[in-house]
Amino acid sequence: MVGDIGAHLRKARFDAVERLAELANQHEVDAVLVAGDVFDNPFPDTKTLYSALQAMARYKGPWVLLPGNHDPGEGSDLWQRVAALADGLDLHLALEAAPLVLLHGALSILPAPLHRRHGFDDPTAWMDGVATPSAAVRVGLAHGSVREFGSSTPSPNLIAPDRATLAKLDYLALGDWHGQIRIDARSWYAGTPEPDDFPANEPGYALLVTLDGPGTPPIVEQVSTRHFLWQRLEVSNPTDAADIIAQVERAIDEAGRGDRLVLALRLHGQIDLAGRYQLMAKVNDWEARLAHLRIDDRLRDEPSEADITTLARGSGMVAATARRLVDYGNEAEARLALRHLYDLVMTVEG
Amino acid sequence: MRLKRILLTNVRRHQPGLLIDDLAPGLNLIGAHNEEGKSSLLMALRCALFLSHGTTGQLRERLVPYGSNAAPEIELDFELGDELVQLAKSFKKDGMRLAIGEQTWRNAEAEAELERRLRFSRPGRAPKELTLDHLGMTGLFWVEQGKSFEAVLPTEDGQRRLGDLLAAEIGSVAGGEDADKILDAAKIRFERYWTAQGRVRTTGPLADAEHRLNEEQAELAELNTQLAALKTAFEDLAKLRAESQRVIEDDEAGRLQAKLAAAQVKAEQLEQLRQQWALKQQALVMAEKSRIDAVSQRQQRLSSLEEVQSLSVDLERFRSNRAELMQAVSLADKERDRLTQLAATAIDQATNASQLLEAVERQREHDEIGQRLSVERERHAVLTKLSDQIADLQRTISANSVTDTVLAELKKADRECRDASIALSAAATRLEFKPENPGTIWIDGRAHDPAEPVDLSQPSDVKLLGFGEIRVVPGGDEVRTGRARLAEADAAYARLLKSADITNLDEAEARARARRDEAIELKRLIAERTRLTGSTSVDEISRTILELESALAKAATLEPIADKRDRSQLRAVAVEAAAKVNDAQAALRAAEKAYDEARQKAAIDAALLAERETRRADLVARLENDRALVGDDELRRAEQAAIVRERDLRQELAGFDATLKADDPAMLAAEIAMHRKAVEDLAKEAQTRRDRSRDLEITIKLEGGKGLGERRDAAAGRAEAAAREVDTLKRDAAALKLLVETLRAEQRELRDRFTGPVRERLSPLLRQLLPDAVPVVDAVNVTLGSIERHGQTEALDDLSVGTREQLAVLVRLAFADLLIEHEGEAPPIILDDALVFADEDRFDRMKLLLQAAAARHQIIILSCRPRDYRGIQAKVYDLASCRTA
Repeated sequence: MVGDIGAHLRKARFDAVERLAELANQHEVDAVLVAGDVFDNPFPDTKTLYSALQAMARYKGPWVLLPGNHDPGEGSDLWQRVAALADGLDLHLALEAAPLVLLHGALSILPAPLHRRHGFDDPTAWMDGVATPSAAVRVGLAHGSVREFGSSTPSPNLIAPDRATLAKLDYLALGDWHGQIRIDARSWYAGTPEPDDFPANEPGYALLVTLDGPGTPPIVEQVSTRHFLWQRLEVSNPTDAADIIAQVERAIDEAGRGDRLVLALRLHGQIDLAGRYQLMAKVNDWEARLAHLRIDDRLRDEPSEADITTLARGSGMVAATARRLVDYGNEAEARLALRHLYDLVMTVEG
Repeated sequence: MRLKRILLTNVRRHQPGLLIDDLAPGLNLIGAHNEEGKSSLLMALRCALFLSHGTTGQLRERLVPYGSNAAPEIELDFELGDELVQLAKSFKKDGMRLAIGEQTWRNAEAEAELERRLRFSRPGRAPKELTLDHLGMTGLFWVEQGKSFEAVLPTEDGQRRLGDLLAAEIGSVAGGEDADKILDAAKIRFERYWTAQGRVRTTGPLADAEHRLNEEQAELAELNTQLAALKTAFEDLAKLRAESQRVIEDDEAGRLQAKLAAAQVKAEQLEQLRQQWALKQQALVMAEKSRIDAVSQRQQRLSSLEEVQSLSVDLERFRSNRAELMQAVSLADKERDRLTQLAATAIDQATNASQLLEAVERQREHDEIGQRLSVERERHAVLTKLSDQIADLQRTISANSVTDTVLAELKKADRECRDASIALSAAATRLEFKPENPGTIWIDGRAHDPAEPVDLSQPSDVKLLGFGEIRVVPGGDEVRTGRARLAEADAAYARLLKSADITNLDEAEARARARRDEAIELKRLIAERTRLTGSTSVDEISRTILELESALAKAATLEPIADKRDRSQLRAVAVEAAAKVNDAQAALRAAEKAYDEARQKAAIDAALLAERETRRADLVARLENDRALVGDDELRRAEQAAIVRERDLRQELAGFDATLKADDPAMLAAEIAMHRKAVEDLAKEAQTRRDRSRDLEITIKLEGGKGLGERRDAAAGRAEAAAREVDTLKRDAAALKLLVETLRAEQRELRDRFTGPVRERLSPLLRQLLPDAVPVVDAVNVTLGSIERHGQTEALDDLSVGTREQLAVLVRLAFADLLIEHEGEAPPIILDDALVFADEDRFDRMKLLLQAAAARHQIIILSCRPRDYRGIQAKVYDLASCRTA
């Protein structure tokens, strides 16, 4: 995402970390666990690192950060840089697959850091036989996918879906998927706190997990962290422009605040020139009102008799031109030309 | 509309009035001098139809005669369709009357009816000028003086009316103001991307977007490169660290050091062994030398003994050969003496033979000189005789002066004498006698036969018997000239005879002939003398004779020879004697050589004998001395001991060699060097890895903090957005290009259809005037915009004034045709002093065109030069004759 909205969205992600810290304070949590992809890129700007760490600093408890596929433990000095800048933070970098004991032995974290972007061994496999203090809550922290996605090649960073059971974990905190998903009672994907795309599932949340002690089932609560609402809207075969306009307006209403709505609008079907003219005027309005509007416009401009009549008002020459364009070989070019012609006629007529 | 009658009263110059009646429905020619009121007539017609009778402004004033207040009055009768329209307009209140058939209208009604019928709109207020805008279509056909060359531009009303006509013809309305606005607006959008010529603009939104895209892509590429380098640095660093770790874990350095130490110990052991071997080797060398010395001493003694024995045998042999050698020397000496004698005898015999042969040769030479002297003397005598003959003949020829040239001159002089004589005879006075009686006639005292006529060239006295004397004096220039010529020729002839010393021509010829014969003989004698002498002169022959006589005198003192053998026999004897001398001398030389060789061999033999005797004595003395020091047995024992010592040492060294061969020192040294180098290389590699790691760590530290990944992702996003923008703008540009091109194509097509009818009417007329030209009709103004000739468009303004004027008339004819065809009516075409810029040919063609058009339209030509229209079929008026009383 580029331009002004790109800058807003980037800032929103730091704001989400800040909200996360505030929520941690608010709920007086014992630790905040981040299951990978803290950073988008293994080579971020130092300012990015500062911004993230400053946002985290609002919560004074321990932060456990796990390298994910976007910020793996090797191939860059990212985590060394983070460590060097984390002055004043109770920061724990889970760079090795070895138990991490916190809270004076009450919490044993078994991290499964990714050393490379893609690995083909289950990074959580090592957790099964690892002993932790019997009084400590045993929590796995991993980044990867728990299921294959039908690819002919094996999916990287694949995690056994029953890892929590196999490794006798009280809870398995998973990262990688942007949406929030429950795998089982002890295994959850929290999702990204601030979405940056249009996922099918629900992003923009964190999970508040309560573990009363070893062996007790976790209590998992969803807390919202997002600022922007990312939403897809597909309009197929609209009856007319009004139909499209109505559906979009409804989506905006449902979002509550248009200025926080990032809308991906996909249009199928056909539309006459008058409808197109009407729609384009409305698009300008939406672009002003919404945080961002992305249109995948696959509507086919199909002049109606009424359109031709309107064009003929301009003159017989204009109507004849429109008829020529309708029959023109390069349809996409001709339809765009027709759109211009209609717009010109409407402009000239005032 | 056809004008029938025009009556003007109190109109400008036409005072009191002007009546033009019975105007023809076709061509009318109204002639008038300048200032006679042609233009006033045209203005009156305009005012009658298009100016309200109630007008009071300056237009009315322009109709009023100078110095008069009378209201101008105009009456017009004209046909409109099938109806006769009678209009009477006096520019004053209630001055308008219009009658059509049975109907009559007056004043405002009449004006309104006229407007309706002629399809024009009269302005609300009286205009200051009657322009084309006030005249409806009619104004287009009535051309004022001096404006005939202006382009025919119909007024808006006219354009609309023509447009209606054309639209009716093509069945649709093509363009319109909105179409132009739409096209203009489309062009504005089009020109964001394209130039007017349809080339892509180098500025504007698309160019800007492409520029941005290029910049973003360049930045992205740069960031990708930097990021790849950074990633590589990390990978390289990881590899270096892994390698260092592996080296440590594998203890490569320890293993290499152990290998080196083992090899070095082995090398030290080998070195000790090699030193022992070297000591033994030195002992062997010394034993070998001792053995060689012992063997040598014993061999030397044996050799001395053998040499003494050999020398004794040689001495015996030399002594026995000595007597034989001395005897051979003696025999050779004797043979040499014998051959010396034989050679002396042979030399004497040869000397005698040679002397005898020499005497014979001198005798032969004496005889040859005598013979040669005789020949030379005889040749000298013949030559002397020939020289005398030549001298005599040369004298004879010199004495005869009658050369061929002289003879030719004489013959020429003789011919001149005869010619002069003949000429004189011809001029002389001829006397022919015919005496009655035979008698004697005397001329200059000499009797003359009367039967013979006589020519007298000199004054002569003729005496006739019975008559007396007659003095005949031949006269005239010819006789005088002839006489002088003859005298001159005779004198010349005489001079030549005298100079040649002859008396007549025959003698001259004889003498000339003799001279030629003598010359031939002289030539022959000279040739003979030349043949005999060759290149030698007589004097030289004389000298040769003297020399030969001297040589002969010397030879005459020889002794006579007793031996009678001839020269060849004597020469054979001499040759044989000489050969014998040679043979004897050769044999003598061989005998002397044999003697020398024998003597030399004996001397050498004696020297060798002496040398051997000395040598033998020396050897014997030395042997005795050596034996006194070391005896023969002692020598043999020492030799045996040295051989045994050497053999023992060799056996010991063979044992060392086997040990040394088992461990090759070179291989062992190479092994040590290899292990040492491996240790050094490992250390260097470790240092290189440390250096490289340090460099990479610095690079990573420097580059890692730049946020290359983030910046790359951001740049990729921007590049992607820029590419989308370029794509969108390109599609927009293509669409606008398509739109404008389609609009233009449609406009062209519709305009072609729209202007076609005008072009159809105009084309045949234009072809009559400009055969190669095609009219280009302007669809906006509905008139001729330009012409095309040979593929080139020519604007009207670029044409000559005359051509423009002619084209303007043709356009009016075409419009009139169009009106007739569509409305059944067209205004009359009135041309006031038009076509004044036409050349003669064009003018004639225009007259024909006007005459042809007059079959369809009423045409009224106002001209100050009516004679120019002679021959045209028109009804002719003289404006001055149309004035009313």
